[in-house]
Amino acid sequence: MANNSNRFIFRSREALNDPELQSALNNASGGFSKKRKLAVDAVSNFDALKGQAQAIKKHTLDNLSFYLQQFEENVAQSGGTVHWAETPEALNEIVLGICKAEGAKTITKGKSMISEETELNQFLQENHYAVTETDLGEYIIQLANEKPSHIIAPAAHKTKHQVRELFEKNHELGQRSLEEVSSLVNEARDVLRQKFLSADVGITGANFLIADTGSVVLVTNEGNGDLTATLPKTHIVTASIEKVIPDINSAAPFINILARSATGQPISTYTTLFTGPKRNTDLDGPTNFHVILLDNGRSGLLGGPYSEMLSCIRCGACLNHCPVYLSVGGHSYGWIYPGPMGSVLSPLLNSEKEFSELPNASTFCGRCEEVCPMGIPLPQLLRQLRNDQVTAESPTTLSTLAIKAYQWVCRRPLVYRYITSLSIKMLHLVKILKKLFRLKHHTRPCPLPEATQTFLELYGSKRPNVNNCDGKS
Amino acid sequence: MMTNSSSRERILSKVNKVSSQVQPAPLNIEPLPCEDHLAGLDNQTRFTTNAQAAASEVLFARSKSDALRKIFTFIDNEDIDSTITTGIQSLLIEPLGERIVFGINENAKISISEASFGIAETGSAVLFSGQETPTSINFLPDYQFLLLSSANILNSVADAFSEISKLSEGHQLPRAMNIISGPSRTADIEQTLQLGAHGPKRLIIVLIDNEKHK
Repeated sequence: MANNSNRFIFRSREALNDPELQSALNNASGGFSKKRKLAVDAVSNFDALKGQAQAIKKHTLDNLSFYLQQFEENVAQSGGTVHWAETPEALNEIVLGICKAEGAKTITKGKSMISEETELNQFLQENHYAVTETDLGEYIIQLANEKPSHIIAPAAHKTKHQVRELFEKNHELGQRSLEEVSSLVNEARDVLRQKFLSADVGITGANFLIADTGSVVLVTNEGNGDLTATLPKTHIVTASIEKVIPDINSAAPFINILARSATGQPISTYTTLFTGPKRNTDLDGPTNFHVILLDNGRSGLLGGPYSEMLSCIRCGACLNHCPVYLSVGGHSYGWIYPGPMGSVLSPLLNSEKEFSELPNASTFCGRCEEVCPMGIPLPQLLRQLRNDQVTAESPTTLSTLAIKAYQWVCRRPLVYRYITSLSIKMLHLVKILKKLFRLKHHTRPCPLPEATQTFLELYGSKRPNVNNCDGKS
Repeated sequence: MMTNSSSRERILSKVNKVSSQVQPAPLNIEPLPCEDHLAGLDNQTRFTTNAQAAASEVLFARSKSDALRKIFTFIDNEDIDSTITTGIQSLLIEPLGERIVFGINENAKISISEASFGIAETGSAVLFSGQETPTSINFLPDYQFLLLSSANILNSVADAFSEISKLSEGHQLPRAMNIISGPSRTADIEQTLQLGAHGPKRLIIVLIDNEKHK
């Protein structure tokens, strides 16, 4: 499903030179992290809440088989249906099957990273369904025919001028002022309201699945998820298998840490528990309720060295605190999951080769691990992925040979000093050549050393008596 | 569905290898309330402060009739001209009740609904879908008025989930349980906060005192 593969370095260079993207990223950086800090610092027992959520998640993953089957049973009990999809293609086919059976034509969607993972929109459109994303950010990128660049703020890479151009091009509403963010939001509200009211099927994601009641927990700020889940005749939930938790009580610590970590709110505006289809006495709600559980490689991670990644609750904190993400934006990562969590997840859920550059897209500064509410050791997992890569390589590749050569040199001080002394002179020469031929814009903005001597040479020349300081003077 | 069932077996066989299929001993974690600087205050004060911080407006009333009077004063002051919908039958027979329409009306800009309980810790109102509380009127109108008995304000999110959990014992949960914390909002364009993304632009909670827990 991932099509952009190994071009992180190329794309990030382009991103760094894109002034609009840089301006959008400047808007995004700082905002999220400042708000998160305020919200987390306001709760003196935040670590205890995190600890509870982590313990619940670990317990659930250790007993995942039981809880998944319990969830399935309870969804059926409440009048809904659970479907299992091993692959993205299987999930798309199940959705198509339901839409066909219902004779549906129009579909609204709430934000769902799982359906991004399966490229559901594209698939449904190829099958002649009219699909509309209803989260404002998702709607914007749908109009732009792009992928999300952030897991909770999909259009974080767009400026309001770009959004205005998209609306003017797509809405055909004549002459009107769209200068302010408020007028853009209001226009989207009006356009999307009609879509909500006329949809046959509503598809949403899920933040948590509750095993012992068969409920689906959905968290949004806009209310689009609830309109999508309530107005159409059929509600389909797309979720992955690791989203399940044991019971309603265990949802509390997650709700307490999720929004604080994500947007810095104490709680998101709308937290909804859906259980089954509408009851006979209800005045509204869908008559059909389906939950599709996607695996797509997750079961293979369970119990392995990367199983901690399955605890991720997709709050986006690691993105918002990553110096690499905040410099190059989400699209550079080549798949829908960017930042530190994406650098771990993308190689694991796709072929590792295809995303081999991502574990290196890190400075190992460790902020991601620090802010992760689920305590996922992201730098350690990235290091492990790098390790896997090198171990998997044949011993004759260039990088392995280079490391061996380096090892040999390091063990021989005289050779080491000779080579470093020579190379610093070479770098100085490069600097002169660069100036001479004005190569500044054609080469990497990498600072070259000012000195023409190595540290040891300088040290020796500035402290000429260094060898005589033996206390006998 | 053929593919469905075989997908199920394949996924579960992989999951079975590394996780338990039998019912585990319960975890026995007692979810904690959040300890913040308002934690010592009484529930009503804390609820009001947090609700206002989440951009909700809070009115106070002595009874349901008083609540209706307050709501109509608000509507008349704001000069909002619209149908007012509700699912609460008993409101219709109140004085002023003739200005309200029962049921769901897509074009109504105002709705009045009743919350089952509130959460002091977050200033949230919890609504259950049901005969008198259709879910869509929580999201379709521009103005949402929420009646909440001040005796029904719980301390924390943990308490709210525990209350919901008790309801689920031996009973089927309602189709939708909405925990609403302020008017609808988005910051998807340049992180600029804008109220009224898809749901209500304004959320007015009317706290009714002197009404005992049902």
